Amino acid sequence: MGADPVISVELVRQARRKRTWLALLAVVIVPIIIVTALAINGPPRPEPGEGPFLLDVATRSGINFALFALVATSQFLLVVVVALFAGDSLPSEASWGSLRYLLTRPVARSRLLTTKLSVASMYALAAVALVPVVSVIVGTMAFGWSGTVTPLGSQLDTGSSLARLLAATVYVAWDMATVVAIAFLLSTTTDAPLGAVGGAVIVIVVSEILDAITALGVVRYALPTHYWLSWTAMLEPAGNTAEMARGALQSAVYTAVALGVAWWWFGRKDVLS
Amino acid sequence: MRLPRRALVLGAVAIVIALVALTVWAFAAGGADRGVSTRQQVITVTDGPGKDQQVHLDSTLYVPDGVDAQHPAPAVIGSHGWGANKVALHDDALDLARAGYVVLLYSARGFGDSTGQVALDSPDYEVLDVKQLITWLAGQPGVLLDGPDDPRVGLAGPSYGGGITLLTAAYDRRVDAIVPSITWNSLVTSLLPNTAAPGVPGVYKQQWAGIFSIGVGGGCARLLPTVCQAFQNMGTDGTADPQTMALLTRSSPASVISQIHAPTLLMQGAGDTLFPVSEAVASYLGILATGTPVRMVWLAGGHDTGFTDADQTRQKDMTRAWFDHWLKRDSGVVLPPAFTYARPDVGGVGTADQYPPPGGTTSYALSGAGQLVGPKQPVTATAQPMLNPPGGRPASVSSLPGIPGLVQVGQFIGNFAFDVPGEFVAFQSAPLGGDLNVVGTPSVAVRIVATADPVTLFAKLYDAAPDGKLTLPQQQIAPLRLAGTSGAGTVIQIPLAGISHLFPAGHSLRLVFATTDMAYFADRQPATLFVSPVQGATLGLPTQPVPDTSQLPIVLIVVAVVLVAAGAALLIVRTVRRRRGLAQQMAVEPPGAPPVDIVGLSKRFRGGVLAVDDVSFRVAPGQIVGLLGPNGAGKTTTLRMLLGLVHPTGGQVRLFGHRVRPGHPVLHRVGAFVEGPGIPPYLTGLESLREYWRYGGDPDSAAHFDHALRIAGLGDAVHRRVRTYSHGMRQRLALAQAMLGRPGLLVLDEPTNGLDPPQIREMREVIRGVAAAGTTVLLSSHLLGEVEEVCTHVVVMDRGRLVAQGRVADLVASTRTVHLQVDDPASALLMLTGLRGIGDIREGEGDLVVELDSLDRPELVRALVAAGIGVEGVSVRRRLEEVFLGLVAAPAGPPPSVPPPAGPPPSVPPPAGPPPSEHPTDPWGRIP
Repeated sequence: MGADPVISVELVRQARRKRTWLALLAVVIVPIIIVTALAINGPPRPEPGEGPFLLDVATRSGINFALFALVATSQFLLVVVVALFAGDSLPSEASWGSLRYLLTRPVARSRLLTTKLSVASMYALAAVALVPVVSVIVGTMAFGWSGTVTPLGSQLDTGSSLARLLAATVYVAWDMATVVAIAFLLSTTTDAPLGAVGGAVIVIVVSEILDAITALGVVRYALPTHYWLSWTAMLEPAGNTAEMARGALQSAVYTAVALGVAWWWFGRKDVLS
Repeated sequence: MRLPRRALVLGAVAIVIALVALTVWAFAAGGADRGVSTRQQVITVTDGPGKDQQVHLDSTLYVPDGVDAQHPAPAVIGSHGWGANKVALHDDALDLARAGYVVLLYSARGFGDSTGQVALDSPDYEVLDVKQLITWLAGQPGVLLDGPDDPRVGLAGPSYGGGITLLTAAYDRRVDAIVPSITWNSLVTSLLPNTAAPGVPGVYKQQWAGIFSIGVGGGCARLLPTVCQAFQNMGTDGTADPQTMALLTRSSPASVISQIHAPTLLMQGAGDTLFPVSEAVASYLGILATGTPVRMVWLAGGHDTGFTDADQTRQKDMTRAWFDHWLKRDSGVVLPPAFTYARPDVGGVGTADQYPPPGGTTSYALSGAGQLVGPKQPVTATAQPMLNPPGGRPASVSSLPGIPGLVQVGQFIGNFAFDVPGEFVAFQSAPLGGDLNVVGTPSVAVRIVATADPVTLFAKLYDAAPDGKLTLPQQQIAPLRLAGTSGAGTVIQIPLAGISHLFPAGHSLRLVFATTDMAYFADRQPATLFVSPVQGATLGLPTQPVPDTSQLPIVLIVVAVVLVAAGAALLIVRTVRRRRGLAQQMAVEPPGAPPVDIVGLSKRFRGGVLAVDDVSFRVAPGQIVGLLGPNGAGKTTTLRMLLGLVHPTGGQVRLFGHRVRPGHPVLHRVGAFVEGPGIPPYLTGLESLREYWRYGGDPDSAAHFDHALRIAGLGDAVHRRVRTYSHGMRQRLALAQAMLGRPGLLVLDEPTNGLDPPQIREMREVIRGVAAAGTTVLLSSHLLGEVEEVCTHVVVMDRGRLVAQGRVADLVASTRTVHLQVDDPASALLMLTGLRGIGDIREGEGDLVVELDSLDRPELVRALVAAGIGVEGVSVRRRLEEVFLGLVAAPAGPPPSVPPPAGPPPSVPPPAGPPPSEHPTDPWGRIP
C-alpha cells in the first residue's frame, strides 16, 4: 500500500481548484503592493512617541523589506491563507458529497486525514515561503541589494541577513503550524468550509486581541500568538532569542494537541454528509 | 496526472542547489571591502592663551579609494583616550573609512609622538589644536566642504577624546555632528562628586584620579605644570582650591554646554565609576535644552570593565549610523530613540522617548530599626550611628577601578562590594513580591547629625539575595560632603547613583550609608554620624515594566513533551497493530462467507433517535436484494453502517466474512452508491473516476475504466467538467464509479432516483448484467415496481425494524388475494358469500376481489363452474406493493385503508397492520 500515490493524487486534487491559486496569488501580490506604496511615498517618518519599527528601515534594502513584509503578512494574511488550505479541504469534500465516497475506499480514516493534512501543510508552507522570496525580489528591484539595518542602527552584512531571513521564515512557518492544526481540527467537526476557515481565523484574531491587553498579565504568555514576533530579536546583537525557543515549544504543543483531538474525533465520527 | 517520483526528487535537488548557490553568493558578495589608503603626517598647530606655542601633532589621514577632489567625502576626526595615542583608534578609523569617510587620527598634545604637554582638554590648548585640524582638513582634497574653510566634519572619541569632542563642538560652529563616549560633563562632579550639592567640591575620587595623573608615562613631565599642580593638590588635600576649581571648570563642557549645536550622540557606560551615567545625563539635558538633536545610550561596562562584544558592535554601528545621517545627510538612516539602555541582565535593550523614561515609582519609608517599609507605614525616627575611623581606614569597598581583569567584562555588577561593620548604617526591605525593574536615579531624604562638620559619607543601594549575598548594581555609589551636620544636623535629599537593574522577586532592597570608600579620598577626622529617617520622606525608585522573561515552567514543558510522545507512540502502535491485524484477517478469509451478513445491527443517534433496531439479514452470493421501506425506515443508515461510514451502537456487519471497520481492506471488493452522486464539480467526469480509483491506492489496470465508462454512457461529456452535467448524468457517473474495479458486492442506495424511464430501464439491464456475471447487489429503493422487476430477494424495514424478508416470488406468492373475471358478477357474489373457506369479498374494477381463507384457487374455480357461472379469468395480482403496504404500519395521520393479506406470510413476524376497512384501494395505495 504505497503512501505516495495518494498524496500526489491529493496534491493534484487541490491544485486543480481555483481557490488554491487565487490564495497563493494574494500572497504574491501583497508584497508587491506594499513595495509600490513605499517606493512611491518614500520611507515613513516614525511617529513621535513610538519606538523604532522594522517599517522605518523597510526601504533600506531588499532584505530589510523582506523582513518587514514577513512581519506584516504573518499577522493576518498568512493566517487566512493557511487556514484556508487547512480548513477547507475536508468540509469541501463533505459539501460536494464526495467525502463519504472517499471514506468508502479501503483507506483507513487516519490515512485520509494524514493525506489531507500533509498536502494542506505543503501548500501552507509554499504560501509562507513565497512571502520572503517575492519580497526579496521586488524589494531588491526597488531598494537595492545590500545588508540590513536594524531599527536601532545595527548593521548586518548580506550573508548573515539572509541567514536571519531564512531562520525567521522557518519560525513563522512553525507558528503557522498552530493555525493549520486548529483549522484542521475545526474542519473535522463541521461540514461548512467557511466554518472551519473562519473559526480558525477568529481564534487567532481573538488571541491577538487578548495579547494586546497587558492587564491580563501572565495569562498572555499562554496565548498561541504571544511569541509570534519573537524572531525579531535575532536582528539585534544582544537580542533575547530565548523567547523564540519558548514560542517554538508552545507552537509544538498547540499543534500536537489540536491534531490529536482532530484524529480522535474524526475516527469516531458518523459520516452523514 | 501522476507526479513521477523521479521528477519530484530532481525538482527538490534543483531547489537545494539553487538555495546553496544563493547563500554562497550572498556571503561572498557581502565581504567585499573598499580599499583605504593612509598617510602619515605631522601637523603643526599654534595654541596657548597667547596663541604663541607651537605644537607638532603626529597624525594619520585615512582616505577611502575613489575619494578625491572630484568625489569628496565628509570627514571625521577621532580623538583618543588618556594615556593612548592615535594608534588606539586605528580599527575604528578603518571601518569608518571603508564606509566612505575621510578620517583623521592624531595624537593629542602631550601624548604619543606629539609634542607639547597635556593641558586636560583646555579651551586654550587642545580645543585650539582641534580647530586648526579642522581648518587643515578643509584644505585637503577629497574632503566635502560646506563653505570656505568649513569642511563637513564630525568628531568622535572616548573618555579624554570625548571631552575634547564636546568642548570643540561648543567652541567651533563648523562641527557638524559629534559622538562623545564615556566622557565627562563636569570634571568637578566627576572627580569631586557631591551629590548633595553638585558644584560644591565633594569627595575626591582619588583612585581614578591617581591612575590618570601617573598614567601618562613620565609622571608629571608630560603634564602642563598647572595641571600637574592641580592633581597634586587634590591628591594631598582631598579637595580643590580655587585655581584647581577654575582649571577643572574650564576643561568641562558643563559651562559651555548650551553652545553646542552639533547633533550629539552620547554613549556612556552604566557600570562606569569614573564618569557615571549622571555625567551623560547632565550633557544630555543641557544639549536638549538648546533644541539640538541629541540621543543618549547607556552601555553595559565602562572604564572599570571594558565592553562586551555586543556593545562594541553597537557602538560602532550607532556611530556610523549617526554620521551617515548627519554628515552624509542620508535621511534614510533611522535615528535611535531618545534614550537607549543595554540590559545584559535581562537580555536586549530598553528604549524610551525621553529621559527620565516615563514609568512608575516605587517608594519605601525608612524606619529607625534599619528597615525599609511601605510609604504609609509608621516609622520610628531612631538615629543609628556609624563611625568614621581615624585616618579613614579601614574603608568600605564598592569598586576597584583601574585593576583590569578583576571584574569580567559584562559582569558589571560588582559582587565584591563590602562594608566595614560599624562604619555603615543599613535599611533593608522585606523580600520583594515581584520583580522590580529600576531604571534611572533613585533618591532618598534623611537627617544626618555628626560630631564633625563637614563630613563625608556615601549612599548606595544593594540587591540583597535571600541567602545574604549582596550585589552592588553596576558598582555605583553616591558620595556626599555635608556641611551643617552639628547640632540638630541637616536634612538632605540625596539623588543616588543612576542604575538600570532588575531586582528579582524574593530579593530585598538594602539602602546603605557608609562613612568610607576605598576609591575615594579618606576623611581623616574621626567622627560619629547619626542617620535618622525623616517623617514623611521616602526612598523613591524610578521603575520600568518588567521585561517579558516568562519561563514556561519546566514541569509544564516536561509534561507536554511526555504527552506528545505518548500520544504519538500510541498512534503508531495502534496503526501498526491494526494494519497487521487487518492483513492477517484478509489473509484468512472464511470460505463460503456470504457477501453481507448483518446480525443484530442497531444504531442509536445522539439525541436518542433509534434509527436501526436489531436488524439481521444475510445476502447470498449472486442475489439481487432489494431493501424496502418507507422514509425513515433506517435503510440508508443500515447501508452506511455496511460501508463503515456510521458506527453501529450494537450488532455487527460482516462483508465476505470480515468485520467491517472504516477503511477496511475488504472494501476493495465493494462498490458503493449512497444517497446520490458526490463528485467535486471542478473535475471532469474522467478525472473524477480516475482520482476516485487512485484514492484506494490500487493500480489503474485493475480499474476497468472502459467498463465503467460504458455503464456511464456519457460519451464525450466525460471530458467536460461535472458542474455542467445534469442530475441524471451525474447519477450515471456515480453509478459507474461504484462499478470501478468490478467489485464483488454492489451497494446501491436509491440508484434510479432522478432517472427517466429509459435510463431506469438501462440501469435495470446493467444490474441484471453484473448480477449475472457474479456480482452480488444490495439496493434500496422505494420504487416497488423496480424492485419487483430487478430483485431476486427483498428485505422490508419499517421504523428501524426488520419486518419481512424473503424471495420476491415467495413473498408475492404468499398473497391469498384472487381477482375473478366472471360473466355474472352479481350471482357470483351471491354464491361466493355463502361459500365456506372464503374471507373477504368485494367488488373491484370490473372484477371481484376474493380473499381466500382455507379454500384454494382450483376449488374456487370448480365451485364457480358448478354454480353455472362462467369464469373468464382468474389472476393472482402479484403486486409487491400490496404486500409491502400490508406489511408496513400506517403512518400517523388519516390512515390509508389497506386490507391486510389473508393469513400470515411465511418467514418471520406477523405484520402489525391496521384493521381491515371497508374502503377499496387502488393498486397504488391512494385513498379515493
